[in-house]
Amino acid sequence: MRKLLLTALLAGFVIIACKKKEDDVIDPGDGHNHSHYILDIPPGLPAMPIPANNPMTEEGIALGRKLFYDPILSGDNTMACADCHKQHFGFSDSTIQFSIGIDRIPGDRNAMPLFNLGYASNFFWDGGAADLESQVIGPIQNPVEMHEDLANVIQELNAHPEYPELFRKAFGSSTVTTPMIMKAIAQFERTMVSGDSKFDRVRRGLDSFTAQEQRGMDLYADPFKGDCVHCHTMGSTFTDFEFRNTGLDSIAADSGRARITLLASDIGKFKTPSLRNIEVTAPYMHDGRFFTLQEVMDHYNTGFHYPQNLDANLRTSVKGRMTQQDMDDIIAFLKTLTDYNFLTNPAFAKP
Amino acid sequence: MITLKSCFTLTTGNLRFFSYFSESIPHIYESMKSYSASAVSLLIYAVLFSIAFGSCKKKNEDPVPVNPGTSGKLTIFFRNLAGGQEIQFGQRLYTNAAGNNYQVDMLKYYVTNVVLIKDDSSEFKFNNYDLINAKVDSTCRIYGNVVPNGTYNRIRFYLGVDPVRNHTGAQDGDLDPVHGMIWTWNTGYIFFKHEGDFMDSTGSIEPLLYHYGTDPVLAQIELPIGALRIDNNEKKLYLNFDLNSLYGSTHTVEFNGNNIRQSSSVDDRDWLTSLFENFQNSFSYDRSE
Ligand code: HEC
Ligand code: HEC
Repeated sequence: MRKLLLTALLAGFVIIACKKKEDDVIDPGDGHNHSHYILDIPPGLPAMPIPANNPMTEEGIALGRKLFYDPILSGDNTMACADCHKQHFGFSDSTIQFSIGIDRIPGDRNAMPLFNLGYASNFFWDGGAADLESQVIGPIQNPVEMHEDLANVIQELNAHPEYPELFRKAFGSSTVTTPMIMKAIAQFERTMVSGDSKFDRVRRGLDSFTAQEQRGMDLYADPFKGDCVHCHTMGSTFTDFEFRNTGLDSIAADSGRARITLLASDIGKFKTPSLRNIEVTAPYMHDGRFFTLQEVMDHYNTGFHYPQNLDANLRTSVKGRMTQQDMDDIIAFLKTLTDYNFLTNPAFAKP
Repeated sequence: MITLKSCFTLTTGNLRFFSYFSESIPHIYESMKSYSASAVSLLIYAVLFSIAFGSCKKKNEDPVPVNPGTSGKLTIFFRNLAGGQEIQFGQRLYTNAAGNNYQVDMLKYYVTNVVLIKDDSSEFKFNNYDLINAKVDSTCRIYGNVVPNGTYNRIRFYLGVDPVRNHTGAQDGDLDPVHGMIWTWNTGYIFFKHEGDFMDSTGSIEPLLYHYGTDPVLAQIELPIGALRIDNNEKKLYLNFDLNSLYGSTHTVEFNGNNIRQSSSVDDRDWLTSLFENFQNSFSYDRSE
């Protein structure tokens, strides 16, 4: 109890401290006032931690958004972030098969949806990027000759008729550098918050589930049926942000988390993805092997293998524990996680 | 002999991403990081902060804080060798302990957090993050512009980037991703990169690509450097780095079947461990003047 009180007090302290910060105006020394941006977090999602070295500003976000949609970032000016991360698919991609160069393991990975990124502390299927700022360079690079590409991108941005002024507005200097690009895009990405699905509105008492959706939610949490909550937590972010092996293969083609930790015990483990907007982010899994939610349900019900690192929650799950009706119900529940306001919010669309 | 041209320093440049005040006082920032849990630490923070702001202010008013008569300058040169010879790029001139004939097309590595240790075991920290590119002489040196007077007999540094800086790419100076020393899909710097080729056991020429890194193999190197006396003067310290030692002392690194390593698979661990242990023996003190 004492501990709780202390925590509450401390939390209060932090909130006050943060409040103060939000009122501040960032002046990087160019005499130009940068307007602090205050994230609008829907009820049901926690406050988002913003790194002290990259405070959000209107100017930074606007710049990040422009860069996100601009093919200038790719070495050959053909592809923007938005080409693989499309808003109406929850910023995932439904088509691209993606191959890589020397700095990545062989094996295709499916583009991940982008929302609520500010809550994660590592990125990519294997958690390889440790902050949101850093993951930006991955896609910019041609994997083989990365430094040359980046240098070209920076040169192009510096020679561009509009960008130097936009960078000056955002960061106080019109000489574009790699860290500025990373920070701007990360600022925009942090604004991409999704928490206004039917599920959320039901939670807030503004809507109600159908009988099937309600059954689906109960089965989702039922330890003898779906048992999905262990990993895809109920509510909030719908993920525990852990790395787990879900038995997709008996011998994993993609070593997953082990690529980062080099531990045999991490082979075949991948980051638990959020299930928000799952209806629109097909294909599913790190390699996009499943095209429908029914295939996903079949995997969890009967299809999973028993590799050494299989997660304990699945190892103890009985195969065939769900009926077709159970699976239909869970799918109906999953569809209540689609946030149409997010998918169509003009603030995230091409500027 | 390498020809030596002028170069740039970066003792504090890479710290820009921490708050403005800490930029000018990396020392204090570092020591603050280690206290953080208790109320006592809050107090310490408060005191440190006020000291920090105090010293910041002062610095702004007086941009030349160097106190003449108490310090000198030191340039540390890294000479890059293979079997004791200056590396010539693009020629298959070298033979490692395993008998593999190899060549070097690219050799780059990070030397960071250089510390000079005095005979009374007090230390002077450079707080540097330097990328040595063996092909570019001007990068093969590290500057200490204000080294306190005294006699130093050891040097210590990291071959690699410490965990504090290793997990974000949004940094400038030698840590800017533009140098190509960061993995594309894994936030982490490539501590050491040797790219080239070698003649395999069947006589055919195969690529050699070694990208070494990840936190557990951040190698700390410590070397005796004679008795380096800094006394209001300008000194030069020459260190050698030898690739044949890296591949042969004490673990023998065989290139056959082991020629592409990117620190990205469980299978890379033995290779990482060998290099990690060999790095200590790959640097040596040459001379100072
Ligand atoms: C060619 C397609 C492609 C392009 C272009 C692309 N991405 Fe991605 N993105 C992917 C794939 C594939 C993954 C998953 C990679 C992995 O796990 O190894 C991913 C993952 C991510 C993630 C991690 C999400 C998470 O939850 O961990 C972020 C963030 C991201 N991309 C942002 C960007 C940004 C910003 C850009 C533009 C600079 C971009 N992407 C361009 C395909 C792409
Ligand atoms: C042991 C933890 C765990 C349990 C239990 C679990 N999941 Fe997953 N889920 C994961 C992980 C990890 C992934 C990513 C796996 C991969 O790509 O290799 C995943 C992926 C998914 C995906 C694909 C997401 C995407 O963006 O591609 C869906 C859909 C999904 N799970 C639904 C469910 C449902 C429904 C249940 C309950 C029947 C469930 N999961 C139970 C951990 C779990």
